[in-house]
Amino acid sequence: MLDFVEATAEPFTGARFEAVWRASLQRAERGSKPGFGAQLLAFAVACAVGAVATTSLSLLNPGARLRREGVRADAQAELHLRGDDVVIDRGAVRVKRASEPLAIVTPHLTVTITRATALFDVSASATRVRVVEGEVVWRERTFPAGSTLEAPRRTSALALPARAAEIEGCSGSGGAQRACLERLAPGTGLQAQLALYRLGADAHAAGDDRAAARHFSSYLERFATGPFAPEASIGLMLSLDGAGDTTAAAREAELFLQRFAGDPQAAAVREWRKTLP
Amino acid sequence: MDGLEVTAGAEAAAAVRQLYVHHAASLRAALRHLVGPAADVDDLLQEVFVVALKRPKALLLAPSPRAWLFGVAVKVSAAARRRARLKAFFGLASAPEPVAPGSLEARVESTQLVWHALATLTDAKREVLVLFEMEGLSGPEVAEALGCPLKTVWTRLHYARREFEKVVRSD
Repeated sequence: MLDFVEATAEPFTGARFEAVWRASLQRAERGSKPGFGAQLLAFAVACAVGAVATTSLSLLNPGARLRREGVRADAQAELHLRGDDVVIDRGAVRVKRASEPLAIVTPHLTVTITRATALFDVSASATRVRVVEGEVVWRERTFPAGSTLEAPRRTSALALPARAAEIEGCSGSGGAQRACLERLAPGTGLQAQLALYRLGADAHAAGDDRAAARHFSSYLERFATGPFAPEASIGLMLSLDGAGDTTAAAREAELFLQRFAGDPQAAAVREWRKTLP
Repeated sequence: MDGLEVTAGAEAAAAVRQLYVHHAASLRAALRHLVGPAADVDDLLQEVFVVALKRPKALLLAPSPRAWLFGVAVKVSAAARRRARLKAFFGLASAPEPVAPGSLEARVESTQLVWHALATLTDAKREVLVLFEMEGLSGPEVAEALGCPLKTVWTRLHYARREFEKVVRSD
């Protein structure tokens, strides 16, 4: 009888599908959140006695301890303490730590904050963290002030092309391999280009988009006509976007289309550019 | 499911997870149709499964776990509509959700028409129409989900269809 076509913005699959399930599990363990009616009553009571209040959950959560830990949340945020960790289920939260490390847990990631200020934006589908000052550690990587990390990452039809070529002498893993690549990168030959490209690709894969952007920029400055220049340009635009600088990412995409119009990835870059402001 | 021994904890969560895998997408669509385009349906879907995880026995021993879940979704959506009315009253309503960029005009128009037509129905008629026509629950399942007699389901459905078509045809 009825023929509907639903124009939804995003499909309900993958990371988003799993994130909703995980959040349901967390909330079921913790207990139900207070309803909006309960929040409204708390607000009305606070106004009646002349207190400064909001319709937030802070009146019903152990807000005093959270504030001592340097945590401030907006009215709609849901968060609680689990042992010494702060768990953010959803909403916008600002965390400022002066000394001792504090673990912040969301449905998508766990970061450690020490002597830093960071802004968390947690939704059902992703967590975005902007480091305002100091450094934040995630997956053994350090994110300095000004960087943004996001998990799960925004999906994109444009992907960083993989280069499977092994670099002689750098076959280890982790810190040892990175040290080897950094030793080779300042050189002038093909090995140096490979090393520099790999440093950028590895940083991007680990979510450190500022470092990735530095490596890819360096490649393009030093090896503008090198064999991996188109890939480095794609790496740079994706890293800039990942770091939150969509203006610079768009500019790089336009430069790519001027410089590498005949590249097999040009059509994908053109489509990706349309998704940016 | 008859005679199934259900205990709280990991086993129950795993069983609820299976139901999540099978029904989450259609529950989410139903919540969207019941509450409207401005709703945070992911949040509402979480609420449905929070209830399921807290009451696994009731869910897994229900004659139709699917109908049970949709019944919870109806209650969750009713509460969301009440909150939205309260927020609107206090001037705290959030902006409506923007239409997906790049969608075809015809798709956008037909979707908006659907929401507009659904919004003109009473809650009771909307629930029956969404569960039966859109989510494909059977009459008995709708009755179980809504906790009303089967005859009531057919009566509400009859009037819901009539009113829905009237709005759609008049646009």
